[in-house]
Amino acid sequence: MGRHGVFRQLAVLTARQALGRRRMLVALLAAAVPVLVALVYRLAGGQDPELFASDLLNGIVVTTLLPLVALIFGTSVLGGEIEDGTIVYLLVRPVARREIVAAKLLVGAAATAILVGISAALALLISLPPSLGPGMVMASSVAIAWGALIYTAIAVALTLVTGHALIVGLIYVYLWEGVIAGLFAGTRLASVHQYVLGVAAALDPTQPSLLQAHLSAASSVGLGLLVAAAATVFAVWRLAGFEVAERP
Amino acid sequence: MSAGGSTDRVGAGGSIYDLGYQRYGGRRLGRAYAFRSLYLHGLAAAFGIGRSTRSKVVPIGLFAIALVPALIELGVTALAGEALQPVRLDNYFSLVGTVMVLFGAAVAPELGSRDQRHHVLSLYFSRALERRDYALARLAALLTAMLAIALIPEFVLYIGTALIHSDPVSYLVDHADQPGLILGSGVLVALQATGVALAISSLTPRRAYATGGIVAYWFIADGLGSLIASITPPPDAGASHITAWTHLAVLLSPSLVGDGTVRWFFGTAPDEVLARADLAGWVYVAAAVVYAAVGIATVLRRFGRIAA
Repeated sequence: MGRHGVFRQLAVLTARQALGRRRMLVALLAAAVPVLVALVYRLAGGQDPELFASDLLNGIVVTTLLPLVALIFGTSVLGGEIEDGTIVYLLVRPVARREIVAAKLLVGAAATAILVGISAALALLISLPPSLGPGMVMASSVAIAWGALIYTAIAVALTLVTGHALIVGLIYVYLWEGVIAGLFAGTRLASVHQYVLGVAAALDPTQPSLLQAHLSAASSVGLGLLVAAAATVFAVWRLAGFEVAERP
Repeated sequence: MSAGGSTDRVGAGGSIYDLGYQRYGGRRLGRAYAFRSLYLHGLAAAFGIGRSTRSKVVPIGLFAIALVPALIELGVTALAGEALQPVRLDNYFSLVGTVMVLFGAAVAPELGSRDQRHHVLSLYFSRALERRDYALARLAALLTAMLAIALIPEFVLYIGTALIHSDPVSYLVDHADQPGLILGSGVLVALQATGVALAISSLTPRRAYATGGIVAYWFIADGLGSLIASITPPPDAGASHITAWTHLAVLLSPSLVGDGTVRWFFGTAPDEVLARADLAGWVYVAAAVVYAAVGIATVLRRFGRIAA
C-alpha cells in the first residue's frame, strides 16, 4: 500500500472511531440550536436582521458552538485512542508520526467545519434577506473553517500533554476567551475567537461589519497560522517522543 | 450396594466441604457509616485530595480563580476607598458562574461517571449501602464542593470589606442581613449547578462525554435563552403571539436563572437581558428550584435502575 493509501486509511479509521454514535448525536443537537433560534426569530417577524445575524454568529456560533465542537472532536481523534490504549497498534506500524497527527487533525477539523459551517449557513439563510444571506454564509464558512483548524490543532496538542485535555481546552475557551479577553483588551491578541471574528468581519458583506472584531484580517490570519503551526509541530514532537507504555 | 453407587448419590444430592474460609467476626459499621465514608471520599476526590498532583491542578485552580475577583475588589477598596465597586455580592455569581460550571464539568464526571466506567458499582451496591444512598452521597459531595466555590469567595469579600472599615463591628451590624442573603442565594445556585452537572455525568460512563455534555448543555442553553429573549420587543411595543412568549426563553438559560435568583435575594435591578424579559424575581427562584429538583431526580432514577 502506497503512502497515500496509508493516509487515507488513517483518516477513514479516525472518522469511524471518533465521530461515531453518541458523540455525533450531542454535536448534532448542539448544531441544531442556531437553526432553531433563527427559525424562532423568523416566525416572530424579527426586526433588524443584520444585527440579529451578527449576534447569532458572534454570540452563539463563534463563541460557543465552534470551540465546543472542535474541542470535542479534536480531543477524541487522538485522545480517544490514547485513553483506550489502541494508540499502541497505530504506533507500532511503520507510519511516520507526523502523518498520524496530520490525518487526525484533518479529520477533526473537517468534521467540525462541516457540522458548524452547515449549522451557521442554515441559520444565516433563514434569518437574513436574500440580498445579504449568501455573502454572509461565505464569510462565516471561511471563518469557521479557519477556526476549526486552529481549535482542533490546539485540542490535538493538548491530548498529548494531559489526560484532562477537554476540560483544559474548555477552561481556555470560556475563561480566557470569554472572561479575560472581555476585560483586558490586550489579551485579544491571544484569542482564537478573535482570529475567527477578524476573518469573518473582513469578508462580511455589510460594511462596517457589526461583528465587533478587534483584529485586522491580516493579523487574524497571521496569528492564527502561527498558533495552528506551533500546536501541530508540538503535537508531532510529543507523539514522536511518545512511549508506547506511557499513559498520560 | 457398591462403592460406585454411594459416590453417585453424594454427587446428586450435593455436599458441602469446609474450605476453611473465615467468617467476618468484627463490628459491622452499617449503612450510615458507609454513606458517610462515601460522602467524604467523594468530597476529597472532588478536589483531587488523595490523588496525583495532576488531578488537583484543575479543581483547586478553578477554586482559586473564583477567589480572584473578591481579592481584587478588596485590594482596590483598601487602596482607593469605596468609590468604585465593580465586584459586589449581588453580581458575584454573574462573574464566577462560568467558573462554577467548569468546576462541575471537571469534577462531576469523577463522581458520576468513573464508577460506571470501571464497573465497580456492583461492589458498592452489594454492601450495606443502598442505591439511593450512593446517589445521595455523590450529590452531597458535589454540592459541598460547589458550596465552597459559591460561598467562600463571597464571605471573603464580605468579611474583608468589614475589616477595611475603620469600625468593623458597626459595619457588620449595619450589614447583618448579608450573610443570610449570601447563604440563601449561594445554596440555590450551587444546588442548581450540582443537579445539572451530576445528572448529565450519571448518564454516561465516559468522562469526556460527561464533561462535553455539561459544558455543551450549559453554554448552548445560555446562548439560546439570551438570544431568543433578545428578540422580545420592549414591554410597551405591541407583541405578536410569538413574541408574547419569547421573553420566557431566559428561563432556558441556567446561568441567567442563577443570575436572576441572586438579584432577587439582594433586591438589585436586573441587567439588560433580564430587564427585557421583565419577569418577577420569584420566577427565577422557582426555576432554579426546578432545575435542581429535575437534576437530583435524574441522578436518583439513574442510579436506581442502572445495571450493576
